[in-house]
Amino acid sequence: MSRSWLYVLPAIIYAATFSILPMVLSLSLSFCNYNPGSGLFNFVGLNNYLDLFNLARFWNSLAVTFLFAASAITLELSLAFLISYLLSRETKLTKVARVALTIPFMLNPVAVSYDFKMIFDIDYGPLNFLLKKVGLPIIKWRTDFAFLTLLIVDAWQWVPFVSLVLLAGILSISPAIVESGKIDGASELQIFRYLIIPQVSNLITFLILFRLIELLKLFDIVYVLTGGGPGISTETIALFLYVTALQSFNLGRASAASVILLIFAIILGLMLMRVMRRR
Amino acid sequence: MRKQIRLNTLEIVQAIIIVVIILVILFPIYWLLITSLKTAISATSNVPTFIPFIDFQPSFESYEYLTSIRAAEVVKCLKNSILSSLFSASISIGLGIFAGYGLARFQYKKWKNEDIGFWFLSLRILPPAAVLVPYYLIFNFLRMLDNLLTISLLYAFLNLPITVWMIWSAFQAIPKEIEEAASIDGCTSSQILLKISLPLAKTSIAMAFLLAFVFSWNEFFLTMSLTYEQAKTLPVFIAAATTSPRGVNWSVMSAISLFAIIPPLIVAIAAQRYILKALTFGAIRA
Repeated sequence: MSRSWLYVLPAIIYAATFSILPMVLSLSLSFCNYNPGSGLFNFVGLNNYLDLFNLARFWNSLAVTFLFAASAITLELSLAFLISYLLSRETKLTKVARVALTIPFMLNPVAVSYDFKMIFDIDYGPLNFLLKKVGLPIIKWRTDFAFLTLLIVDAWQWVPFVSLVLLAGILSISPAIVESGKIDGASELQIFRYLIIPQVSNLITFLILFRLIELLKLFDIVYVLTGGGPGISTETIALFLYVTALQSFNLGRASAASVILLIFAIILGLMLMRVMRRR
Repeated sequence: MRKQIRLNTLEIVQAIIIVVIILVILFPIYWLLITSLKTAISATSNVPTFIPFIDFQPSFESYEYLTSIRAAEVVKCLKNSILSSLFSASISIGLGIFAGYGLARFQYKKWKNEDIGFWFLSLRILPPAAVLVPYYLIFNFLRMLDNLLTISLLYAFLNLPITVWMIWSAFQAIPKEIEEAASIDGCTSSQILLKISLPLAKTSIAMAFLLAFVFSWNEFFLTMSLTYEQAKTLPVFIAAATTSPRGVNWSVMSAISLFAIIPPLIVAIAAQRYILKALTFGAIRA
């Protein structure tokens, strides 16, 4: 082995210790029953998986996660298209807006969730106050509209990110393409729809996969804002895993769920890599 | 003439929408700030107030609470957040400098450089929930639960893909000729790295450090799962306090939450040009 490996090897070993080792452990544990309290440890074959597949709460968490991901991505991409279109011109105002857009997704998600918990508060929150002011009925955001509430908070954090990525894609398109459309007499909207969107289609695929992968991890805002409730109606797969592993201490079942989650992540990851390598 | 006017109305409508977007982004931050400046009683009055001095008399009650002896726990969590973020950012930058330099300057035969880079990238895809059980068992076995070192090492792992990629591309941007010249003058490869490449890439490395700091600072899922008391960080404290059934002191929690968003806010504005590139692994060249 040449000396050049000494540069990359520490990082590779470090990363492998924290990824491959636990993944192998997750997989092995998914075939066992283990209770750290009593020390009970035995091989149970596929029982954890069968147990998991019979568990409505597991299917619920998968449904919540993917339904939320689908809604969030649709909403975020639509709004981001509008915003990136509005900001594609260079004015003082759009420059200020671009700086503002960099902020939300960098902020601490737990603090942001608490912030929105106040904003959505039934009695003292500014949002219901506004609704009352304009004569609308107040809304029990976090209980009656838990899913929507989470969607709004996620959109507040991530629409800016999606918009900025799309905007960067739009701005990298050669002005000649837009110019040729103008000469042919296309309206601004037609130019956007038929000339610009096809140019960024690769980027859209990237964004969908990127957000999907991030949304598989969805935990923080759910934990603070709804706790997975009412009932388990907003319990995501990450929250289900947390409860199963660290509250019920059903480590075998949690490991089986981990393996399923890993399979989803790996499939999406491979798709993302293909998109990225194509560039 | 009429067309001219119509165009202007369209531009005004667009400008109004942009202003609304900016306000929607800034309002929650503003709300956090003003709530922290209210008294505990006025923060939850029946009619919410919005403008200090006009709507309500600002008070430093919540900040006085935070500097009083009762806030020892908050101070501990703040200290934990700062220490673990600094430490983990240093580890991932240290490892990232060597790996990034190696990837930029050598051709690896068995695996291609690009493959190694994408392997690092793929680690970002790993959902922390999927490795929660093994982490818990491993650190329990090592008697390292509720330990600042444990969460720092984990943060460093989570940030490694970003730091490796950022530093790798920073080194790639340095012309090879500069290093070759140094090599002819008799510098060894480690001397070149230390004396020539590092100073040239220092801005990117500083930005990578800031981003790694913020992502560690924001981490919640694993920290909450693997700490109880001693190693609690700010997000863990905020989450526990604001989901407690005992009710929440809005102004005090707003002040604490403000602390939690200030470092990311500063970095978001300071590292603006690097953030998109880092988060999308160069899929975007902003």
